[in-house]
Amino acid sequence: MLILLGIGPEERHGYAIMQQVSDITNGATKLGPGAVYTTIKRLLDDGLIEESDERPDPHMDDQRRRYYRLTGLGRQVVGSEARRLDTLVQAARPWALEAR
Amino acid sequence: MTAPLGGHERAYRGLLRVYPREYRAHNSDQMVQLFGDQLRYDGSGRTWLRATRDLATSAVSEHMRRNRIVAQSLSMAPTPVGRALGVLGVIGGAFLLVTFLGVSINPDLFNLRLVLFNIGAVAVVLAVHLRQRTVAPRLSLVGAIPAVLANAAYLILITRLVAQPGDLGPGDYGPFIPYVAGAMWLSDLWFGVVTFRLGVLSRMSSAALVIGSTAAFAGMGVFGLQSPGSLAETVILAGIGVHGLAWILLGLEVAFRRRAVVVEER
Repeated sequence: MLILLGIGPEERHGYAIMQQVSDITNGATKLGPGAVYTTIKRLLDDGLIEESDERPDPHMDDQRRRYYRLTGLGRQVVGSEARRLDTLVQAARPWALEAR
Repeated sequence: MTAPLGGHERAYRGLLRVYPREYRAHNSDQMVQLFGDQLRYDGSGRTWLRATRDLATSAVSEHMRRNRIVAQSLSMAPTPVGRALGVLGVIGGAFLLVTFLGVSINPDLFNLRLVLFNIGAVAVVLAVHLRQRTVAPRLSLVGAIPAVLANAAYLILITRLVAQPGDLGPGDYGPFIPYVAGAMWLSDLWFGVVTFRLGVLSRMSSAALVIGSTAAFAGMGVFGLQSPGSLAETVILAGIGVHGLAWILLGLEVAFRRRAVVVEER
C-alpha cells in the first residue's frame, strides 16, 4: 500500500517513490533499494502497477531509470483500501485519537 | 545518459550478490541506479546506513521467498541418485566430525571413518554438481573435478592402509599422503568457492566448506596437527569440525531440499 501511495496518480521512478513514502509517513518509513524493488516486482506481477513506456530524454536522465504508474486495478485497490482505513479511522476517532 | 559507476556504486553492486541470482538479473541495474540517486541527494553516510540495513533484511526475505516458491511450484523432489549421494555425504561428514573431535570409538574403526568421509565427500561433490550444472555447467564441472579427483586419490591411499591392522601413526602414511591430503583440502576449498559463487545451494554451507578447508590445510603439518592444547590446534580442530559440518549441510540439502526447475523467462 505504501508503494502504491508513493507512486500516486503520477509516474514515478524508484528514488521518487522512496522519497514520497518517506514524506507521507513523516519520515517514519525509509525504504532501501531492495525493499522498493522487491515490492515493485510483486506489484507488477499482481497487475497493480505497470512500467511506463515513455522514457525520459536520454540526455536529461539516466536510461536505467524506470518509471512506474498505477494500473486501473491498482487505483481501485488503493481506493478500496483507503476507504477501508477511513472507516476504521472514523470508528476510532471518537475515543482512540482523543485519548492521546 | 547512463553515468559510469563510481566506487560506491561498484561496491554496492558487488554486495548485491547476496540476493538470489534471478532477483539480481531482474533488479540489480535499477537498484544500483537508485543507490546512486540516494548518494547524490542524501550523502554517502546515510545512504550506506540505509543500504546496509536494507540488504540485511530484504536479501534474507528474498531468499526465503525464493525457497518458498521453489518448494511450492517451480520445483521437483530430489532425484533418487541425489538423495542417495546426499545421505552418503551426511554420513561421511558425521564420521569426519567424530574422527577429529575427540569422540572415542573403537580404534580399529579409525581408518574406516576416513574412508567413509572420503566416500561421502565425493558423493556430495557429485550430487552438488548435478544440481549446479543446470545453472553453470562449465564452472560447476571445473569446481567439481579437482575435488572428486583429490578425494578419490586420498580415498584410494587410505583404503590401502585400512588393510593394515591396528591404528595408524604419522609414520605409517608414507611420503605421498601429505601431498594428496593438501590437494584434497585445497580442492575442497575451491569447490566451496565455486558453490558459493553459483549460489544454487545454501551459501552458508559452501562458506563453511571454504572456512573448514582453509583451516584444515593450514594445520596439516605431519598429521599430528599442532602441539596439543595450543590455540592453533583448537582453531584447526574447529576448522575441521566446520568442514565436516559443511558436508553434512550440503548432503542434507541435496538429499532433501527440493530442486528448482529451470524455466524460460516470461
